[in-house]
Amino acid sequence: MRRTIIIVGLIGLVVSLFLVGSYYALFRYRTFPPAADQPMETLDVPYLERSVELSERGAEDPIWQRVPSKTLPLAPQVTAIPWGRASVPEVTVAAFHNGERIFFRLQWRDPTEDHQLGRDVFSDACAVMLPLVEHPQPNTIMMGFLEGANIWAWKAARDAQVWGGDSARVQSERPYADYYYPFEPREVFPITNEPIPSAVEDLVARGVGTLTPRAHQRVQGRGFWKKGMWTVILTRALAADGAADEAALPIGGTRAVAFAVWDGAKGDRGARKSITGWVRLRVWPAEAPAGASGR
Amino acid sequence: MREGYVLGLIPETWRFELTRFPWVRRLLKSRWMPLALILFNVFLFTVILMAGFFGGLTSPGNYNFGIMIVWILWWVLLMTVLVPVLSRFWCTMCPLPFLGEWLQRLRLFSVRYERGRNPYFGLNKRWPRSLSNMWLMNILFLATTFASGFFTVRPAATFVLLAAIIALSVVLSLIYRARTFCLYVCPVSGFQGLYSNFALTEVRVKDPEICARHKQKGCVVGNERGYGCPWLLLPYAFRRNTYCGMCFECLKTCEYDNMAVNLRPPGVDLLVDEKRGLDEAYKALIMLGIAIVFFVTFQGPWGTLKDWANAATLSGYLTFIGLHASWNLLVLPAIFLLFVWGARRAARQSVPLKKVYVNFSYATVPLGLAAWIAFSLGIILPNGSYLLHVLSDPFAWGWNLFGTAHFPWTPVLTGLMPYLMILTLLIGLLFSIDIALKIARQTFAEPEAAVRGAFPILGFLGATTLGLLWLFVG
Repeated sequence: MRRTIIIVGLIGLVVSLFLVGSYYALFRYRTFPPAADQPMETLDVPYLERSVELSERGAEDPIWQRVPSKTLPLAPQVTAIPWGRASVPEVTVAAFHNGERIFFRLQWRDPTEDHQLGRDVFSDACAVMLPLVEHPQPNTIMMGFLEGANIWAWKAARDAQVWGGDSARVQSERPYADYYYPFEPREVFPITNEPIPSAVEDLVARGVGTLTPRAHQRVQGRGFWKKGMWTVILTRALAADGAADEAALPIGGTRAVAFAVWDGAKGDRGARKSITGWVRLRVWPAEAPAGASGR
Repeated sequence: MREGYVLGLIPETWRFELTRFPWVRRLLKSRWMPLALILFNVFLFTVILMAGFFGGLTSPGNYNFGIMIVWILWWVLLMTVLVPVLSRFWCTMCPLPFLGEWLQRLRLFSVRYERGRNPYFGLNKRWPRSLSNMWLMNILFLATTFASGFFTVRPAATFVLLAAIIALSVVLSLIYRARTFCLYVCPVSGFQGLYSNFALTEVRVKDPEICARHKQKGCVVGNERGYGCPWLLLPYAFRRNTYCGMCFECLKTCEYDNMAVNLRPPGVDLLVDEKRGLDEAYKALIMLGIAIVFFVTFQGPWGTLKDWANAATLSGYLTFIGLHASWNLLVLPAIFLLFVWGARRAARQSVPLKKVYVNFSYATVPLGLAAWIAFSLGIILPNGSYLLHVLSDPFAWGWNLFGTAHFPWTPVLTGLMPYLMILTLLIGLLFSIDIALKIARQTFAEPEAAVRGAFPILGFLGATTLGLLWLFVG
């Protein structure tokens, strides 16, 4: 009898400990210390009283020599299928602002210029991802990253349509027969060919499979391929339009940013891309911070 | 395919006795083995539980010691190395039933042996006969996966799961005999048992004649050197790895050193036609089905499915549970039944459909294991570098114990990952085909009928592999 009482008591103790422990674990909400979650690389965005035009001259403007750049390793995207294939090993990024607009320049090696779309023909592309929150969660591990992000996606095919680069070839083959209505130009109210305002799509995503264009397209850009190298400039007004789905870029502030590159000739498209991890984006005020370089 | 050979290359009877080396036998006969490993894991899991407890519901999984060690390191090691190579070696060193077993024995190191038996503290009741199979483990493992969307992103969920397993093991150890919890309840035990039939190692009798002459049977009832088989088995009659927890007590208690740990060819236990049952058949199919669901949910491009699994809405979560359970308990077993029915019809033999179904289910084990290994590669290669971080800062308190707290996220060999997955699946398919052909010979007496009957099963295995390849590498 005494033994049974002890056993029942022990069982009660174990169950109670489990219930109390679970209660505290489940309802003891705790935020993650941001210090442990900071990206390792920093991309400085100095203040320069200049602009660059979206032209080849702008891409090669000597001002870029004065801007600190970072060469970032790229890894295949493997969080969601289709996975990347390590098509592009690295991307060199530089950025500056003039108090009104921010300019990014992305450069990466690519032996072929791919600005056509067709059956099994894919466009080269790059993108800048800016989280919508100040301290984003790490960007991987199954289902871990579920916060929103504002994405600026430049595509060579889109660039050719907007800026007229070799438009005849772009029109030569249409990839999505279901969506392309060949008599569109003759229609009174065309609906399948929306006008393209920019070579860069201003997108928002809140988790896998939710990528969608923002209502207000505010990012401009243009790319140039020369001697096996893509140079792409992207620019947006620093001041956000106030919408919840646009990333803020406060002057003097630090935000996270990530980059992605697609090599169309190697079959990259959609999720099949090469990506960087988070990079710390430090937007300098008009007066450079102590110890900063690049001006 | 040569009869009696694995893949037509290695004789099924080939064995290499690891315990022939005196130091291995000494090690396994020492009472420090496996106690030392268990104590290390008790420490490790204490830290894991603390990390889960303090992590709450919102800390990201990447930077949580509990999540990283359990779901990234342990799970991947279990599926890629421990089970396929070392059988149930995890059970050897598992810390989860440690408290319960300690309470039963009231000894940590030494052996209690009084009046010709090992006395145990507790009620020592017999587990109900109707539950002495894998059904409960099937249901519990499947139910556990309903919360899989939380385990990798919510540390508290991992804490609750592990704490529940420990609490249940203690409670059942106080009520039922020996390792009843491990045998019939532990959610991890069931698939380890089934997949261990494919493993490269085994604990077996060296000379059955010696056991036949030996009347005391210390391996069953225990003696002053060790406990009678805690897994309630008859070690002298082992023919399959399924329920052997590799505790090595039988090596300690055997007076004639007649127990051995052997290396062997993979998959030979899957051919042992002994105690096969629908519970194990379902276990094989559930494991295959869950591997598919996990991949689709966690690594697929379908955000809605992720939201469902992560309980973004109650209706979505219930939909996930409904679809997940239906797929594993009804749809996949029904699809397999169609192929089995085709096999029986093609063989034109009057063998009961249930027997054909159960027998051929074992052919899916190598492919299922390969699917899990492939899935595991997709976890460890992209995310493994976070382990360095959590080792230095296990509770995310800003520590840097080993100087690796700020090691950046570094995916490893992710460019090769699809090729490694393809290779893994094809190896799994090869073994599955080999097993299926041999099981066909066991099931259908006539050789020609066996060949005819094998074809539909090969079709199932091939179609499943193609589906997995499509999922994994597009």
